[in-house]
Amino acid sequence: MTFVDILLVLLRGAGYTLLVTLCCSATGLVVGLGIAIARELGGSRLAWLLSAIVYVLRGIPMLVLLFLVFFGLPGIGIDVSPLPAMMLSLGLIAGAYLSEVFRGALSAVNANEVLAAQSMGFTRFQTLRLIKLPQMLRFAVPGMVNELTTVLKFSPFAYTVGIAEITKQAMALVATTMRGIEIYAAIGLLYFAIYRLLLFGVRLIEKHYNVPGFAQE
Amino acid sequence: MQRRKFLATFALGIALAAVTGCGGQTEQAASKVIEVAVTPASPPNLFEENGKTQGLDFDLFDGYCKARGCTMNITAYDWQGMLGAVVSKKADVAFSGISITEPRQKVMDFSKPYMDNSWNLVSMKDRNIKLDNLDTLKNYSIGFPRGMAYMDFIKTELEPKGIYNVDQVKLYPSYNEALTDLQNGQVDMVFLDGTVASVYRKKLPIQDSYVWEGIDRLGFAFPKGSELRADFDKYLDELGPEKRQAIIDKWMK
Amino acid sequence: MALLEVKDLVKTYGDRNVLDGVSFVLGEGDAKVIMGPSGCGKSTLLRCLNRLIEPTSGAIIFDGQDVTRPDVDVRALRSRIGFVFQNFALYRHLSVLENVTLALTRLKHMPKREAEERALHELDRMDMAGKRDSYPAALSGGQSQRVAIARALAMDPRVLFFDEPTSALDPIMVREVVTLINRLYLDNVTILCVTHDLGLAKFISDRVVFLDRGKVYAEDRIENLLARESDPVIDEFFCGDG
Repeated sequence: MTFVDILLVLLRGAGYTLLVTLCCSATGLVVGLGIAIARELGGSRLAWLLSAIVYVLRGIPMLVLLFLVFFGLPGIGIDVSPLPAMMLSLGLIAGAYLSEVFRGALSAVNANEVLAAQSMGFTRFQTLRLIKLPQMLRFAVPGMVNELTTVLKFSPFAYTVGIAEITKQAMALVATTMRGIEIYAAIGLLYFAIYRLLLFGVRLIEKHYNVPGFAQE
Repeated sequence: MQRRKFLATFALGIALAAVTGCGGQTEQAASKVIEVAVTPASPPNLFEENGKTQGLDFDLFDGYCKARGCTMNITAYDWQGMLGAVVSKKADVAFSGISITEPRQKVMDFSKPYMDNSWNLVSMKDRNIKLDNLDTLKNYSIGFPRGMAYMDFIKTELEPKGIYNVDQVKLYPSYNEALTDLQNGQVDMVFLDGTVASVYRKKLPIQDSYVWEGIDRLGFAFPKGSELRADFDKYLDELGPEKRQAIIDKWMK
Repeated sequence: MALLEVKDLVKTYGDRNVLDGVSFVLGEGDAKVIMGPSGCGKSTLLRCLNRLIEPTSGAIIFDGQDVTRPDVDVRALRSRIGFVFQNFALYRHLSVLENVTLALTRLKHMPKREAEERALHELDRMDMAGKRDSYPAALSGGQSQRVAIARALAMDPRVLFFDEPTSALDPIMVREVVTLINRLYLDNVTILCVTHDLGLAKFISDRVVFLDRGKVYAEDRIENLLARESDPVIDEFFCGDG
């Protein structure tokens, strides 16, 4: 079995790795945005509740939450499939971290612009949607890319709930070939390649929404 | 804002597609489908070659399925995921050379033991470690995967007698990592069960430093209260000891 | 009936009255400047008028309606007032044209084509039509302020409020902006401008409302105010370091 053969076997898991990464990132984005928006529009009690939830999510180890969702919930009658279980654990946690990124990014929005919008007669909701969120998202790009990378690095946990991603392929392969070093090296290469692929995708999206001179002040 | 709406819907769309698309294994109307959980890292009981799940345990259960006219839907987990799957009833059965132990019996039902397993402490041949008795055991570091029955054995049998301490143990995600460390010299000995040892002995320059015979028996794991278990026990009786041994010998030699 | 009538406006922060009973009148087509030493409350006054800051007491009659009442549609009020800020406050993620059309399409629900025509008309009035696709980061201070004025004008407001419009600009840009506001003044746009720039005041208004420590100290034509050399407060402001 050549190195290339090893890579080919591992590649069978790459599709699942990408799927898990993208699904959990998407969940994280939706959750993070939801929390950020709710904090902006809701009252102080809602904000307090959300902060508490974010606090818990950031403190709980991802694996613990995953097992709670996947193995624990059936005990009270809720059956969750592997991918949704990943989204409800890794995705939720990513959402919690992203909500903090968004919180910081939101504070970078120029208060004068918000004031100008209010002076023109925009509602809170309109100001949020038209001025704050577009700017927030642009400020949050580094934080979002960071989180995307983290999600990729946690995707191997999907194997514990039966998703046949790269790490699973690797473990099965090592068991039969005993060529640990080559296989782990190959995994490293593969994850790096996926990372570059994701970055490329992000850059494409960024280019499309780019505003010249945006971050200067 | 339109772009953001697009992004949000896109994200939601992926999420929905994933949930529905990966919602689960397809149900086949004709024959009964049995959800099987395995860890394809325990040759010769259960491993994967060229994408095909195979092994001693697989052959046994495959025989059962052929006899009863049902099909297997196999999902690969890591070791603890596999056990968790059967405990939480996500899987109807799990097998990958699982030892029958008391703590496990509390949370799952085992079939009749289908083979006896020895427990082998192996070390690298060039170190020439051979123990006649266990007096000098505590001079060496021992490694093995998490969640395996060896831990209980050390806790309940070796520690009280002062033979070995749980703190001296090095834990690993699976046999692979433990054996890698063995080769690097990071750990002195690795606990393998007899079946696993039979495979690795062919591939690595290892030898038995000490062997415990007859304390370990392997079983197929079922969720508590499983009816499948009773039927599978029946099948094992129908198969008979000779045919069973033949299958075992095929893989162990 | 005057467009805007302010009666005994008070704004209290803690135990301090930043505005201590301000009264004045702004008729349609009038152009007035509010001046005074720092801390006199001029910016606060302006922001109370469109309820960006909530007044503590007093009345603000705008177009015959007392807008200090709690049941007033504040958003409708604000869309009738054009506000130009000291720091321009252009939306930096939108192009010049988009900055001006945003309120037209989102608040007045104008179709895009009509909004763009209206926007370009006002941008042209401010000599900024050529920069329609540029982004705020690429504009100079003077250019930004001109876009801000166009943005305010596009909504067809009843009055234009200016809050220190030239304070963030260098002298050349100041002249540029003053010329344009002067054009508006000559076109009979109703203007209320807070500033400490005497040059600006002379070019764009008839009268000055002079504020001191939250009260209207004097209101008169500029020449008359400047002539009051013996008045210590006025003298201090105009001929001292301010």
